[in-house]
Amino acid sequence: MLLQQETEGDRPTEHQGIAVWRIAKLVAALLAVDPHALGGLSLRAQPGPARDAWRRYFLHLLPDDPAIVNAPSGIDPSALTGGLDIAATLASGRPCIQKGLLPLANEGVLIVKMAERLSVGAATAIAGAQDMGVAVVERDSFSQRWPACICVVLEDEGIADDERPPDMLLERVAFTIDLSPVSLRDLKSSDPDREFIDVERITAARRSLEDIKTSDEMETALSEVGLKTGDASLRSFQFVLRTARVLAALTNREEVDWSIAQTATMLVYGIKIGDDAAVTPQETEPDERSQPQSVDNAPDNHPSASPENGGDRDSAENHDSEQYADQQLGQRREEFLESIIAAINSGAVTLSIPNAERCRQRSSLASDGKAGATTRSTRNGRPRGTRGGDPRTGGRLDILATMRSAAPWRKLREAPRAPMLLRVYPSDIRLKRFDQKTGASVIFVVDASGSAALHRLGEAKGAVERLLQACYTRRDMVSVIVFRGYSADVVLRPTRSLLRARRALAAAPGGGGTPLAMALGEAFKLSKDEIAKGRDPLIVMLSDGRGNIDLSGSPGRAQAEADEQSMAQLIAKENINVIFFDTGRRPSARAETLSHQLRARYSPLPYADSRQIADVVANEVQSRRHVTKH
Amino acid sequence: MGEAVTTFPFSAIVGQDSLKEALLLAAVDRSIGGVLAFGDRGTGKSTVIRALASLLSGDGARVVDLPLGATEDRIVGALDLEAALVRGEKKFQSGLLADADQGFLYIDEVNLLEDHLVDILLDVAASGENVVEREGLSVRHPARFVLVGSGNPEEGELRPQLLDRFGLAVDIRTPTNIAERIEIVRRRDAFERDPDSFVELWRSEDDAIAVRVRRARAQLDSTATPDDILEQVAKLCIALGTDGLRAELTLMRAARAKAALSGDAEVTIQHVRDVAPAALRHRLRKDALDDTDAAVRVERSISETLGP
Repeated sequence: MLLQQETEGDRPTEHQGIAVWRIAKLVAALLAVDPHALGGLSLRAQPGPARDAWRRYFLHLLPDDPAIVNAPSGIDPSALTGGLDIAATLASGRPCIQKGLLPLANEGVLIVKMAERLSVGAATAIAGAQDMGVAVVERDSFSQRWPACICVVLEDEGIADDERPPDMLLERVAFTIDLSPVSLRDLKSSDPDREFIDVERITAARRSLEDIKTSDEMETALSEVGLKTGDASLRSFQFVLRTARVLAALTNREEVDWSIAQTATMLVYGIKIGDDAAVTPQETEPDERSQPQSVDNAPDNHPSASPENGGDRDSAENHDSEQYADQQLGQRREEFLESIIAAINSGAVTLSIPNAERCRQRSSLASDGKAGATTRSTRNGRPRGTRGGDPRTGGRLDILATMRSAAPWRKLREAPRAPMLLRVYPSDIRLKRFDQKTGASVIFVVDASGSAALHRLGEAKGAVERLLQACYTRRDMVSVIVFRGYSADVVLRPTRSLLRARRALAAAPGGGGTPLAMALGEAFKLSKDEIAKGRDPLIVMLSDGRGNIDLSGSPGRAQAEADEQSMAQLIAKENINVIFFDTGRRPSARAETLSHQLRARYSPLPYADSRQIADVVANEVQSRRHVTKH
Repeated sequence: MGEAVTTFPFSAIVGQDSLKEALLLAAVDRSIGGVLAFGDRGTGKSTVIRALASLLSGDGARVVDLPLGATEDRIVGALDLEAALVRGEKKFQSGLLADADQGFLYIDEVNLLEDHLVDILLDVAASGENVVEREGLSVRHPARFVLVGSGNPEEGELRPQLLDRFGLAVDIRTPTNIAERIEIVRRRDAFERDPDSFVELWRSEDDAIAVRVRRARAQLDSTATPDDILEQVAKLCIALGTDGLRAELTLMRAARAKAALSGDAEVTIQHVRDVAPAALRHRLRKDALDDTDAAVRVERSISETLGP
């Protein structure tokens, strides 16, 4: 989606695809040189030729034929670390352990399919391996450590903004690339790249990597980048330094220079800086430089650039470099940082989605991003030990627990004529037990228009916090849509984090017109998303119902009212639950009519009070909760 | 712990002073309870905690890792299946709680731990004993461990009952001092290039800290807590409206451990001031409408109650 922002104006989109593809290939080369220290990448793309081509390209660059392991979607944490080998256990009659995918991918690559749907448990297992280089098994009676030094490719097939791999893993990979603008033609256009980077080149870069020098000045500058972009994470800083070194090694340099630093910043923080230099490790053609184009055209020069011009370092910098060459490094650093700040201020993020997404997230705190994780746990419930029972009733057999319960009787049950390792009687059968909860998702829709806006916002905020404090164990989610002026915005995506809620709501503005119809539209969309994730939405309206802006954003009461009606019908048709708190000074007929159309529970609340709101909502959620214990 | 993996030396960690001190205090006086490190990602919380493990390894105090994926049988222990099946013996295979007895139990991403596992931990931490009644086994063994947890609050809140188990809580922020950031990354880099030499380089400093902890432990019983200090501790807790006696007790113990660690014979008001934020910040009654950082509220009360 960021790419759309990028393509405004007269820039032709086809260049975008080429640019992204070149960057993706450059990132593949960087990872091939230093797979473990760079952690890996998150690759957003629908299944298709672009993703396949990238994977082929990346894998063919890897020297020494390392292990390549695919983790299927919905993978269980125990399959990642390792656990009970059921077949071997049953065959031998003693517990046998099976190596997980993480240790199998040791010194190699783990490709995670549909990483946007990864469960928290699986994400933690991967993160653990990335941190310690070890896969830890403490389950099914086994206690085991295996080396698991891995590079992770997170295949992200998410479409919505908040459908993306868990933050825990995005934080641990150096790059995020969105391949969606890459077309078939772009894949073919870039053949010269392959002549530049090949396995020999990668192997040579690996050898020279540890000798690459980075000046103090450069380290300081790169350290400041993170602070300026708002992504203060030390991991990002470590990644940008490392990326710069690898780039230098890959282009036959002995130390990290400013153009390299720019490229590394662009790749890791996702910031497009100034002109062509941002993307290209090295520039060659002076005529290309004269074009006022930016990133879109830039990659055209990078690959062919490097081999023959490896030693020609000065030309690597953009044309300003000569002017500054003799001047103090300090000034160069200032300039470098200024170019980054300018890039951020101009809103010129990004070619890849990366860690700029992190920055944005940190400043706006809009996204949650554990779509898949939560879905899984809601669908399957949370494991809660085992119970006796009959597997034919649909329960899931817990083999280990069953064997445990049969084991003490082994001698007693032994039949002399037909010796068996273990006789399992029906009474031994143990089934896995889950608590299945339909997680509720409370969507606050807050009218921040008019004079009472601040008061209403304050009380809504209080109610959100109260609810979050009360529902930490119940795994419910809370989100907030604020409407005022000419728009309705999701200021807090569904979250369980009190901290995140506080930050998001602190910044919510107020005043202006009342685009109630738009707000209902947003609430409807968000509710549908939540239903898709297996949660049960509850819309909580805080408004006096006096909408005066219609769906197209134009003022006018009549059209606004008509639009509100049609949105209300949509919501009612989906049987989405709504509580309507009429916050007007006097209960209004219009709010009541709208509530009726929404099939909402209508409740006049002239002095919106956070405690009261939270109590009503909590009761509603409680009464709708289905807890099934299998 | 992954024995095969060399851990980053405790003394080589840049910054993180509050977490380091909290861990050392808990190592000096285990009765303080656990340590919770909550804060930003990528700040090396788990590095500090794992570093403590190698620092204390000489004392036989282990730091046992409890991964989120751990199953109940591995945590509390269970019937040893192999022995039962192959030799027909009814034998207990002990779990992580037994391993952690007299040591530390570390849970990374503690706020994501499954509820039923949290229940077990709460139960055992309260009684100091692990009672196993399953598969025809009836076993009980002591399990007195210091609970150490880390996590990122953006992932979710911690259950208040579990929060209360932690004696000390520290808030971890990403450092913004440039020199510090560079030094952190340089040391990590040096460590990754050659772990063994790096550890060797810091060994004497690590040893010095270990000796300090051992000395403080030996001195703990003879470290006096004057009555007026106890009174001040009580005053501070009342001013902050902390629930229950646990706050007072923890604050008093932490101050005493601090005195012992500093080599002082007697607890002073300065020791109390030093440890109060970590001992009290997570015990304040939550006020939904007060955004003020808990640590700031503690600091404010300290200067109001104990003077500026």
